[in-house]
Amino acid sequence: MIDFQTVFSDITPVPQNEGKEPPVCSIAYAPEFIEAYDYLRALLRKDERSNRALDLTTLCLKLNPANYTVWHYRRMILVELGGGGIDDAAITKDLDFADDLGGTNPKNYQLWYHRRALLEIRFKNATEENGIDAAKKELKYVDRILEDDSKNYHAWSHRQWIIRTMNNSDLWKSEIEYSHTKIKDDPRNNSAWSQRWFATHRGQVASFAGLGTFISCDELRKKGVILSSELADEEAHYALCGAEIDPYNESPWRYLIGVLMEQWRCAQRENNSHEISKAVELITNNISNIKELKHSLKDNPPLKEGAAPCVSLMSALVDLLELFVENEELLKEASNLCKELAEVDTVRRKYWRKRDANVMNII
Amino acid sequence: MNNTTPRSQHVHTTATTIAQSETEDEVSPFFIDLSTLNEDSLDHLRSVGLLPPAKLPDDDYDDANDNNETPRRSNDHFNPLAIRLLRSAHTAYLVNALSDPLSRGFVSLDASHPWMVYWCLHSLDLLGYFDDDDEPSSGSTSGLMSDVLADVEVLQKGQLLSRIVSTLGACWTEVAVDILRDEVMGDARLRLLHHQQLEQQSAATDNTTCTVPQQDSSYTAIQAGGFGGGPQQMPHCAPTYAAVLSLSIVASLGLSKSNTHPYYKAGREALNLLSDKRLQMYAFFVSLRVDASQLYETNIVDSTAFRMQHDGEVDVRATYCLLAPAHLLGLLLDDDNVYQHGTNDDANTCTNSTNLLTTSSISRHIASCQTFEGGFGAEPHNEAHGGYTFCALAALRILNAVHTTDVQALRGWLARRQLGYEGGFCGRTNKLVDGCYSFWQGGAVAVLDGWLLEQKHTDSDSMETVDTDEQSNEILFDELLLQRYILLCAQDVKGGLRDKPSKQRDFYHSCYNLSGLSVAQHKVCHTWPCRDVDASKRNDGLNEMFGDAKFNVVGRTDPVINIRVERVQFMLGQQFHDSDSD
Ligand SMILES: [Zn+2]
Repeated sequence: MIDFQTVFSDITPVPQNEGKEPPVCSIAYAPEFIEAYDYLRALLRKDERSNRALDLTTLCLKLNPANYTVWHYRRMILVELGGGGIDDAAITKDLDFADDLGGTNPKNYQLWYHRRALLEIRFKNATEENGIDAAKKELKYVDRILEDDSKNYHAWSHRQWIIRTMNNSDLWKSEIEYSHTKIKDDPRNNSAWSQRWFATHRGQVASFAGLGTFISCDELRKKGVILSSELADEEAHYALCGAEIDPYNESPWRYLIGVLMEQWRCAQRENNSHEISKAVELITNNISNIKELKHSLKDNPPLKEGAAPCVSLMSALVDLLELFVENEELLKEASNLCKELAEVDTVRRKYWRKRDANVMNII
Repeated sequence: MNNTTPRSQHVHTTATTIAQSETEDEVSPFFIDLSTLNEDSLDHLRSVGLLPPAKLPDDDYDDANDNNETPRRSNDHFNPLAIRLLRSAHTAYLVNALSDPLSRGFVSLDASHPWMVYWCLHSLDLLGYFDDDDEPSSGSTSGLMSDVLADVEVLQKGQLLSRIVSTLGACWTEVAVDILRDEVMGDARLRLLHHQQLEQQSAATDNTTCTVPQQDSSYTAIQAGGFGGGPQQMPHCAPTYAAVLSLSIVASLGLSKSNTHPYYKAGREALNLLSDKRLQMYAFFVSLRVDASQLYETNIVDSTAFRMQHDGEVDVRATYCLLAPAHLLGLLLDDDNVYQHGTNDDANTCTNSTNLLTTSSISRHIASCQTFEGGFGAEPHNEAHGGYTFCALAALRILNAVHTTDVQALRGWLARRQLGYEGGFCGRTNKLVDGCYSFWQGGAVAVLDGWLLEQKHTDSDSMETVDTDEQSNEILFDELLLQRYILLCAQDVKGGLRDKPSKQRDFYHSCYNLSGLSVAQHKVCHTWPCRDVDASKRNDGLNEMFGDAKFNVVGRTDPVINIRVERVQFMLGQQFHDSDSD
């Protein structure tokens, strides 16, 4: 609590100007809210960067942690009080402050951005070793948040930022481990699968549309923009193992398709016969693996209700079969699957009919 | 149509499958076959408005649908079990939210005032709240009590629109930005704005001899601006988006009426405000650019992202939140158009000019946010997510760059987001249904389907064989199931809409459920902006309808901008004159 009359005796509060007409969507603020924000506006107008201003932002943010203007003002005050930077002790204090405001499941953009802004300074000022330690500490913090909500989008995005920023080989490796732990906890945690992709690609973007100038597959593999052939094999295997645990789980299937399509597209793009035959082999192998799983599901239905069609599996198969645009047999197989899916996956029947029409068009 | 679809399946029980099963349990009572209910239960549903009154008065449809010119055709057979949109309850909830002070619990939205205004105003507009209100019959001789009441109502609505403009105007704030001098000189809009501001300055400093400041600096100081989350807050992309969309709605509502109509004044003020501020917004948007190739160390050269605010987070929302208002305000036009409209001589003499908000580096960054799943994340490598996917796709549509992404992967991902049992959409793979994704995902499907349809139309000019079925403008998702989720599970009988039955109603979910309902009801438009549909004819180009078809129709939203197509059409018809006078 702030004793306004004493601390800000020299300041005239500035009321909120809500326009010339009665405002819409106005809020019946509590008196303490009005008082705090009236003084805040007065200080903002003077751009006063003092300890008492810092205390006032603390109070205002407790009253509303989503006020981005106050967060920005607070950072400017911190920089000023630190003589042009924010010292490490102040960073620690403010990280704790943001943590307290967020509660157990922080989902507000400002809190997460505040952490990034502070840590950016900490990382920049740290020696390499200290930087890694600081990063690990922050990763632990994020882990605590993910314990509570394993799919918190901000938290996963924050992890990515930390690891991308440090770009340290050990951190990349341990992040693959971390995503594996989370996938083991819940193979349906799609955020964890997504994190695995991020970690295996070391945060590099493989969007072919964006790659611009031509680079060969080999070069892309060397840079790690796309997975090496061995790693692609391993990751495809990993995904299939995940699919075997629960074939009705969409996440491993899409991860599998992602891994395979990346190799396929790159080969197509380079139009190099060696690359293409490698990709064909990879995909052919995986098609037979998937079919094997399909048959075992038919023979030993995992669900009591009988052999419920496995939409995720069938969808993955369609995606792979339709790549073979010169193989009529495989295309017919894809088309038949689309027809079956239009029957069993009724919510997507129009989509499957379109897919079928596309396949038929190629034939 | 109350048949239930199969529930989801799993072999291995996890936290996700438990939550999913709980949600299916939660919604299943709403899917009960109404014909099995006893008369008491049906009476209850009638009393809350979910079912039509037992005996339908002849003018019942007129109450709901005041612009309904065609009388009910005799073959419209009355279905007593047709579920209804709770029009009057939602309207009351939203009007109340706008006009009366909100309780102190709403302080968490104190930095989102323009959002609240947009959510409520756009929802009301979709509900047809402002449609076809005649001018007050002052001087009319009828003197009927009902006419007088109608007049009072129109005046009150006009008053509400004026208050909206005043409130949003109070959220406008300016900020000084430094932009590379070469960029200012190379961009017709910035050059004009800079010129205007220099003239104002010299006028203010009382005709001192012409000073040309910053001659030696590589940066030019410009007074930029945008809307903040409330009065005296910093400008921010998100409230700027919400404010510009809201003001566009008011401008279109008011200026399509005669100048004696109670809406007119608010409409004029709204358009003046937008017209006065548009170049400053452009400068603000330009100042939010970030070199994404630096930020993400990607292998992509020359890629541009945006911050949500100065000293704020970078994500693909920002790109959309500034491109949508820029589009409405004619700020993305080729520079030829700026020369024509500008009255400034300097602008006419400049030969080299680029629009800094339409460069290919912007779409390149958006494309890099597409994930292996097919949807888009907030930043490169973030998990595919409905909200960001909508922003990415709509922004690409505005930039005319949808083709730079993996369209088939995106289409598949969007299709997989509709849940078979619930009928609504989820935001991410293996997440739960939520009413707001009715628009984020459903709207994205409409944007993508519209773009594909447009491609087909363009192609078919040259190609001989045209598969008529392929040209269908039926939306790709299951529109009946989505409408069913919204009408049965997302409506609160007290008014307002919600995420799912166990969640509280709020303005945000009211807006995006109703927007999703609009997308589910109306056929896909093969042009964007939508021109070929006479939007004033409500029942034109409808998809299959769930429940009380005629009663439930809401206005047609533009799926890229998310205000009604008439509002977009109005704004795009404006010629903004960036003159020095005024
Ligand atoms: Zn929601």
